[in-house]
Amino acid sequence: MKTLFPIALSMSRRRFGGLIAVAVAVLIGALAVTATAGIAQTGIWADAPVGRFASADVLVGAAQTVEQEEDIDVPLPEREAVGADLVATLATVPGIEHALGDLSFPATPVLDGTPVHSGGGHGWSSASLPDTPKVTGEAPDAAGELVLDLATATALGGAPGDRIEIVVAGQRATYQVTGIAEDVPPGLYFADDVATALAGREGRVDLIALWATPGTDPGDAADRVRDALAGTGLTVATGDDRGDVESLAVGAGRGLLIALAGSLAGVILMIVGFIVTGALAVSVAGQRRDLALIRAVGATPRQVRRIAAIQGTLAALLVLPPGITAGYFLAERAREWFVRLGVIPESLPLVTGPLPAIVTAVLFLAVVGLGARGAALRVSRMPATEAVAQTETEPRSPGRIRTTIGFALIGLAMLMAAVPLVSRSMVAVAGTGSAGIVAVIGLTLAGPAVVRAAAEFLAARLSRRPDPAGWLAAQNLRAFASRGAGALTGLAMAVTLAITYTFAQTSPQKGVEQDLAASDLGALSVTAPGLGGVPAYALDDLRAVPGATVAIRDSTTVVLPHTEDGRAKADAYETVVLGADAESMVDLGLTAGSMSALTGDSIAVSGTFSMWQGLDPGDTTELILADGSRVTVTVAAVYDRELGYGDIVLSPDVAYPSASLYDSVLVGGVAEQTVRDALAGVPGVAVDAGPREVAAEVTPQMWLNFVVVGGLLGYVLLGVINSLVAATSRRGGEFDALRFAGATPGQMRAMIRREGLWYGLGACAAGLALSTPPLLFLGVGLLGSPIAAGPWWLPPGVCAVVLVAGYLATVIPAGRVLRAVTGR
Amino acid sequence: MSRRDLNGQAAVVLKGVTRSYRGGVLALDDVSLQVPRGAFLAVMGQSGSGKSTLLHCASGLDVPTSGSVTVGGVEISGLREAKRAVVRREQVGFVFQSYNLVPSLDVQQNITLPLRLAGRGPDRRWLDGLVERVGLGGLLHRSPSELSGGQRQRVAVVRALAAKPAVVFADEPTGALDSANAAQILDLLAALTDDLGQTVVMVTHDAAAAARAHDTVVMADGRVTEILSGASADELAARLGRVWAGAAR
Repeated sequence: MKTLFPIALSMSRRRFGGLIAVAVAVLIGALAVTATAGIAQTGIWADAPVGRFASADVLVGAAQTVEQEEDIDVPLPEREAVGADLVATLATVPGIEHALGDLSFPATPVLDGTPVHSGGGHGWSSASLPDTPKVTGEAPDAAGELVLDLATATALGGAPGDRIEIVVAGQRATYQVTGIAEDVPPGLYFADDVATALAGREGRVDLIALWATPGTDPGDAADRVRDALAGTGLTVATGDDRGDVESLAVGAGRGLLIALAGSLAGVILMIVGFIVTGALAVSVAGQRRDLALIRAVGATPRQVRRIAAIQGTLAALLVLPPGITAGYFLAERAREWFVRLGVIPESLPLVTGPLPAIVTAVLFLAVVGLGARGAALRVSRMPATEAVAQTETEPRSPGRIRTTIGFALIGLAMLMAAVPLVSRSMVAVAGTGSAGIVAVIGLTLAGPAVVRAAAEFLAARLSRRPDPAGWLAAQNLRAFASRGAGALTGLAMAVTLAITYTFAQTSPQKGVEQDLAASDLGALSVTAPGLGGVPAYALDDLRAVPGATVAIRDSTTVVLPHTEDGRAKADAYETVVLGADAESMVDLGLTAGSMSALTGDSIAVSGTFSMWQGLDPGDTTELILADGSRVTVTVAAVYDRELGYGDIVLSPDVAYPSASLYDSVLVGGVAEQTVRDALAGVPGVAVDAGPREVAAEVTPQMWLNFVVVGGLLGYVLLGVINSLVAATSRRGGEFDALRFAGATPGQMRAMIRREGLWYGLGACAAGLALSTPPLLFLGVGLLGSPIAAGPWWLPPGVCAVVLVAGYLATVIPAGRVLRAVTGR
Repeated sequence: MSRRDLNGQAAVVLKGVTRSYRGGVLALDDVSLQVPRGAFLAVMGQSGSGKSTLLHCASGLDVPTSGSVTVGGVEISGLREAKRAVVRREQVGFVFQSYNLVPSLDVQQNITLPLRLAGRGPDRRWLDGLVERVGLGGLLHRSPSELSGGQRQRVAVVRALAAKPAVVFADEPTGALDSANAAQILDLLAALTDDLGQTVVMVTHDAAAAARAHDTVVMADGRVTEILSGASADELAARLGRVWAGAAR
């Protein structure tokens, strides 16, 4: 190693171009991998900063998760309450000075008929953190009284003694402001027993905040609290962990980050591996002669491989620090972007631990070390003298096993992509994206054989043409099938991934739109975003309208616990809440059971879910609701509009035993104006025709996929262009030979133009061939038409890019070589 | 050196050819030379004597700075590369030290490449005769990378002759071969001129190789210093030694 180092260094100085390409490939790859790992790490370990309870030493809350064995626990997005009696119990734990049981519930002041954003409703004891705040006026003491924080009071222009209107607990009511509190978190503070009633939390609180006696170590205090709570399964948090107990949005956001990172990791790793090893192969090929000479002067094959590895490693080491650093910045950008998209709460910070850097560095050094050794394998094993003298050619036929595996993978990919034909569900669509990756891997393996066969066919067809350029181009393609296949499969990869990834997003989205449109029986949709939902009293107002049918339409999360090989597992389902009262307004496309049975503890399930879980109407199953409560529900119906409505539709009676706000309310049988008139007393309400679910919405997951796939395509094109340019630049000897055999510059240029065109055309043909069946399956399976839905311009667009890239990356360097050869 | 001028027309004629490169290097300095048809002419000289430049200019691969070059009766010194390329493939064959076979084509395809490029059909009898003569009969469907150096050079010789050119230029054709293979190639080149009436111009620094030619042009400093006829290897070596010594002085 020590002795080889200077040789490797001086060799790399002379062959800089190839190593620069390796460095660029590693740089961009490290950026992508670090960013992905950074997002994953944030998903696993991020702690939200503590907000209202920043001064508390210990927070106690429910676990808010459904435990899974050997997997990340499933977060529960709604508050799971804690027994209120624990507040008094914990206040007596030695070392605890103050304990408060917090309640948080929706409460929105209304000013001149418009909802005003506030910090929500709390019990008065939640204002003592831990000291009782300074109040101008009186603390709230009875029903109909509240205290405002200073900021909210200013916004409302309220003073002690004023009466304000608020929407709380599903009702619109007038409250008297008894006081204004300074230095308290924004909010509406009610007397504790009033708050308990408004929140519907008899005998329970959301969480318990504890302050340690001055001089007591918070950790010790927490330990004693844990002892006191042993067996309850409650979470006792100190330090940074407190944020998770206080804010539930963080848990859900984290889960999404892990899912996003996980869904991207596969395609990113595959493409990075492909491009980095490709760049290494180009670099080693450029130094073939030098390496052969080193062999000739007595280096062992092992040493030759090590020289290649040292060079690649040096290049990687040079760019890993900036690449990794940039990756952290990219991860932070991505985080901000997710915040803007509403995927994760603003408060969730990026975890900037060293792990992504370490993972990326280790991964790339391993890939580069092994890739360089692999690329140098052939030249290192060649007899020394032959290596120097050998005309540059490839082994005659590509490995049969390699080709067979390649075709097998392509076949497997097509099977994966065919799942939408038998199951019209989102799960089936997941196969399409993965199918794209598997098909492309298959193509890289089968590529040389395919290119060779195609080139042989072309050569035979063109050999009788008077113009020899095409025939020569075909012969070159045939003889250098591996070289050509590398570039061609890279370009084909760009085509296939761009198309399958995009259409795998847009087609189901179209399916969702179709389902929602088809299910819409002409109901009006009522929403009230300013209030956080439609309050219960609005429902009563609507029900009072003669001839109106009224139904809740909401969404929530339910968790289905099950066991897998004896281990406890749980799957979360995004669930639509809809009941029997929606029967005349929403057509789920029932195949079994009836909508009218969707009352009480019941659910409707999709055909796919019914099949997989073996659940038919009348069967029962256990579900965990978003707040952790467990219910046994009966299957009322099976429907087939599962793209629009997911796998489970939950009866409102299960979802909201005591709810006060609903996402939306459906109204049928009456005119829009009648509905508006009926809702005159509900501030900030909106009435729309058609399904409220924003059908054309592009989900964050889709956006992320678009952006990442777009970025990766650029990366693939860079890599392919690099290898094409390098390969073409090495063809001086071949052009010489042609010239000496009598080829005119025009003939050589014509030959090169053919090759450039064929690379692009072949890549488009292969890429389209691999993506057409998945698209067809998507269209037929999800949309009932052979045409998948998506941006129509994408296939021709990406093909045009690939054609131009392949053509220019061949023709431009060839022109340069040709001018050098012909001395102009 | 008009010994083998069979039909009175010279294969290659150089008149006052000068070739200078950027930086004022004078590679050829007013060289005039006539190569009659059927001749086997060796061009000798040390590195930098201008012998390779002479070959490039005489074959139309390069253009002289001044002077005229006629190959097979066609004046080429004023033509552009594309036109020269057309003249070359009709009139000139090449054999190089590094063989310069097209790696993607097999032996037969390499041999017929000049005809294909010229848009001509192969003269089967001519090619079969050549292949038979050089002993490549069983190797026609091999790739160049599967051949030995001597075999490759024989393919190159057949390819050079495929279009029945006015002249074959050979640049150190034996430079990469062992002595047995080198002798075989020289025998072949000599036989081509003696038996088939072909014209061969061979650049070499090897006196033994030059001795197989009918005539030898000795070059130094971009000029033709001597033309020897039927000289032996020893004579040539001695002569070359003197030239070198003179150049060194």
